[in-house]
Amino acid sequence: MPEAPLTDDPSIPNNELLYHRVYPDPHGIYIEPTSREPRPTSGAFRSKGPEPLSVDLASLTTPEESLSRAPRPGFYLAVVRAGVIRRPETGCRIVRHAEPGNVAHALVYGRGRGGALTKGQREKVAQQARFIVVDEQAVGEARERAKTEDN
Amino acid sequence: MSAGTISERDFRPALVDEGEDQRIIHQHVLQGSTQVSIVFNTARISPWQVEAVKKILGFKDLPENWDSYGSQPPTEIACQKAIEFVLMVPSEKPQPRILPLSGGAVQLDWRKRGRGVQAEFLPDGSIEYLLLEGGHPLGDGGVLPYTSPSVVSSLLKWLIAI
Repeated sequence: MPEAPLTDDPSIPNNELLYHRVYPDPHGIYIEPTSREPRPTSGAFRSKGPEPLSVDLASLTTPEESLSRAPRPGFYLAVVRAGVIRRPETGCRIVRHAEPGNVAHALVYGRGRGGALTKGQREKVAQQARFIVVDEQAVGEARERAKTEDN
Repeated sequence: MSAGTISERDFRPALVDEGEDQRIIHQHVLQGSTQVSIVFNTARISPWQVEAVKKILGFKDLPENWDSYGSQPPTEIACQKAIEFVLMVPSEKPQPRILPLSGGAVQLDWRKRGRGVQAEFLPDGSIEYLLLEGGHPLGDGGVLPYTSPSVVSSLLKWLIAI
């Protein structure tokens, strides 16, 4: 894993969309109280070690291609805009990190050890993210759960 | 049943007497591995807690790369700490979301009217937490040096004290 960069990559525009696969579990879906829209929970944005978060740049791939890298069908796909997670209150940096077979791969650096996102950063990223692929039955379960959380 | 697979049949309750204190034992048998017994006090355990324990035990069966980013499944100690925490929650309190996390961790996540408590059980057995107020995280979180019924109770009292 490369050293954390001093600045993020300005060649990635703020309106670039970042894809991140989400393990399919109804508990991983949060219903926003105001919009009633489903979004991923912060757990989706934890990396597997002290390292930055892997994402795909939407301008260089498709949702289908990104999901094809999952080990099996059924994964959800979350999307977040580059510009909003670069804002100072979230404080992420984004760099291109093409891999063999995936030119769209990029890394999101946080303030945590090894460039990982801190818990607070993960929650802020999750609050800005939306699903573009999700199981509707699981969303229904999440909406039922939300009723108990709102009261 | 494949090695390590948990089925409903294997998670069976049995009543035993321990002096005057009758307890319920849920035996969780992992084929080809050590038998694990979890002892619940029937006066303190609720159905959601039983379901929570079952879900966490199931995380051990996740395959490598379960998250599609190359992670191992949650570690034995992370699952154990999460189960201990669940069993310390007063049974009438709100039910958490329970999720495996990349990097071998487990997360419990409570939400109630804009407030939130997230407890993350890390692969080495340490515990981090994050509080949310008005839907927003309060800082970058903290570390729980230990868990006890009073620590768990304090976190959840904060959650519902609105």
